[in-house]
Formats: sequence, C-alpha cells, structure tokens
Amino acid sequence: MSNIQPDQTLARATSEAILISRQLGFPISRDDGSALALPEDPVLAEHLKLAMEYLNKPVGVESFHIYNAGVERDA
Amino acid sequence: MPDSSLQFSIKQSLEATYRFIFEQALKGLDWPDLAHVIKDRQLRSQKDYSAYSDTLPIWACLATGGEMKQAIPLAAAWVCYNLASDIFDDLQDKDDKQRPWNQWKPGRAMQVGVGLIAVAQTCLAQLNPAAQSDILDILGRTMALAALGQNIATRESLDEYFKHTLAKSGLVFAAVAYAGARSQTDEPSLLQAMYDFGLALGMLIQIRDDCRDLLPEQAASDLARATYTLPVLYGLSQQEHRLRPRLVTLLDTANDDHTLEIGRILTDMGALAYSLAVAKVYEQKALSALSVFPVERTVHLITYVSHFLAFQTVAPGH
Repeated sequence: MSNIQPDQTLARATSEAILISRQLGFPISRDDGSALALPEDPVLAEHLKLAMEYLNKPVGVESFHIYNAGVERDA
Repeated sequence: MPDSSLQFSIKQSLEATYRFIFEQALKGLDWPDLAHVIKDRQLRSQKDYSAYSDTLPIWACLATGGEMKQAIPLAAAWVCYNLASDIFDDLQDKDDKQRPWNQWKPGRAMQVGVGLIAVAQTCLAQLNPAAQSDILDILGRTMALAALGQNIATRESLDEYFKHTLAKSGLVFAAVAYAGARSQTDEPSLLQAMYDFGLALGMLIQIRDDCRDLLPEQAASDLARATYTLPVLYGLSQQEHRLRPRLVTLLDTANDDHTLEIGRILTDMGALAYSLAVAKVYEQKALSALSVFPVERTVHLITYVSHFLAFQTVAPGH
C-alpha cells in the first residue's frame, strides 16, 4: 500500500480549495463571516498573489473563444 | 548523456501507447465495438492536447528518471479507464455527444465500458512487479472515490463543488501521475511531488473546462442539469448584484439558447475572471511541484500545464 491516502487527501484538499477560493473573492456566507487569515504556507501565499494579479486582467468569454480557436488551429 | 527516451515526441509516445493496446492488450480478443471506441479516441487524441493527457504516466515516469517503455502499459491502462469513464458518464447523463457509444443501446455501451476496465487490468499486469501493488492500490481507491463523487447530482455549495471536482478530477490525475512515477521510483519525496503535481493539474483542467463550457458552441448540458460550475456558483453568490435575478431566471430555464447570455452575465459579474484566478493558483501549484525534478525531464509536463491558461498571452485578433 502506498503512503498516500486518497480519502484523507480529499478532505484536506477540499479545505484548501475553499480557502483559496475565499481568498480570491468568493463571498463568505453570513454563517461563517469571520475574516480568513492569509495562508501560512509561503508558497501558497505566493500563488494567491499571482492569481490576484491575474484577476486584474480583462477576461471574457470572447477572449476564451479566441484562445480555443487558436489551440484547435495549432494542433 | 541525455536519456534517448527524452527525444520521443508526444506523437511517438501516443503511437507507442495505442500500439501496445492493439497489439498486446487486445491480442486474441475479437471485439470490434471495443476496438472501435479505442481507435476513435486515438484519432481524437492526435488532434489536440488530449495526447498529453493520454501519455501523462509516461512523462511522470520520465521525470523521475525512468524510460518510456516502463510506463507504456500504465498509459494504455489510463486510456482504457478514461474511455470507460466517458462511456459511463454519458450513459448516466444521457449525453448526446458525437461518440460511438452514444449511438448504441445502453446495454451495448455498458458492456464495452466493463470490457475496457478488464483490458486496463490486463495492461497493468505488465507493470514491474515491484511497483504493481502500490499502483493497483492507489488507482483502485481513487477510482472508487471518483465513482462515489459522480453520484452527486447537483453541486450547489462551494464545499460540494470542490469535493466533487477533487474526487472526479484532482485525485484521479494525482493517482495517475503518482503511478507513472512509481513505475520508476519508490522515493517518497518524488512520489509526493508527482502526486501534488497531478492533483493541481486535475483541478486546473476541471476549472478551465468549467469556463470553457460557457462558450456558445459548447453543449450546455451541465447548466441544463443544474450541475453548476464554478463560475455559476460565484455568480449566484453575488447576492446584491443587479444581474443576479436575471442569472437565476436563465438558469431555471437553462437551454442551449441561453448559454451566450449566461456567459456574458458571468463575465460582467467577474465570475470568469475569478474562476480563472482559482485555476491560476492550481497552475502555479502544479509548476511548483515539478520544481524538484530536472527541468529537461519535465518539458512536456510544463508545456501541458502551461497551455491551459495561455490565452492570456494571445492578443485578440491574433
């Protein structure tokens, strides 16, 4: 048996995903409205910083459409 | 001296994988339907980035110092598992995508799906015995979780969304990347790094697909089944936004004609940008996980990860 337990990973990764999501602006529900601290993991904090910069770039369905057409053309 | 196997292209590794399936795994098995769906996938994989997905175990193996031939049976099994999953998903969703099995009666498609799982096991029987037990164990337990996650018909909360996405995509890619590495090494730090890479890759793929589903030419089947994607969940969470009532109305009567307007509303609400930012975090996590491996051994993996959000560098009109 490997040392990695998928079921335990699922619980941990779900919590982390929610933390990432809320740090990036997903509203916190009224039930758990307390402020979330920045992750202590410096690597994750750096990823979030990059993503925040990403948020400031214009992204729309049309630019996504252009990208997909390009991928299909280049393939 | 560089390992000669690194010179293999994506195309060559894809050909080697499918050749193994047809010449070894299917040897003596006269089942035209089953061979047909595999051939259909091979043709589709040759046309786009699916080739990277099909050969993921090979690149994971190479990253840890292995050779292509060690992971070919694993890549072949991964192709068969993926196909079986596609068939069962379409049967469950009554999807009408242009795939061979969607033209068949359910019983015929189901038998081919079961057959593919059996063929995948045949492929795994060819793995190095020293690694076989670990690989079977993690693949089996992960796929059980993925099947369980598939039973969640609606995902109306962020918690459910991520649990489902992790089970269906994140953990599966993690296990496959881990298995590719395990076919070469038992070094825990390398295996953990490849597992982390696969987990982040699987999340990136699913969230990016969520965004792509908002394109007008994509089928709006998820919206029609109220299986909400991350952009939709974000849009619905904006309680005070002026466009939210209209979004709710459109989702309540979702059909293909509404996809364009839903896409525009979610763009205006910042939902697409938000979702892509989450995907960006996972892109960066995936690339970070690869940093423990020699860069010359991860070129294809880096290319694979980087293409998902590369549209940001493409200027409109180019």
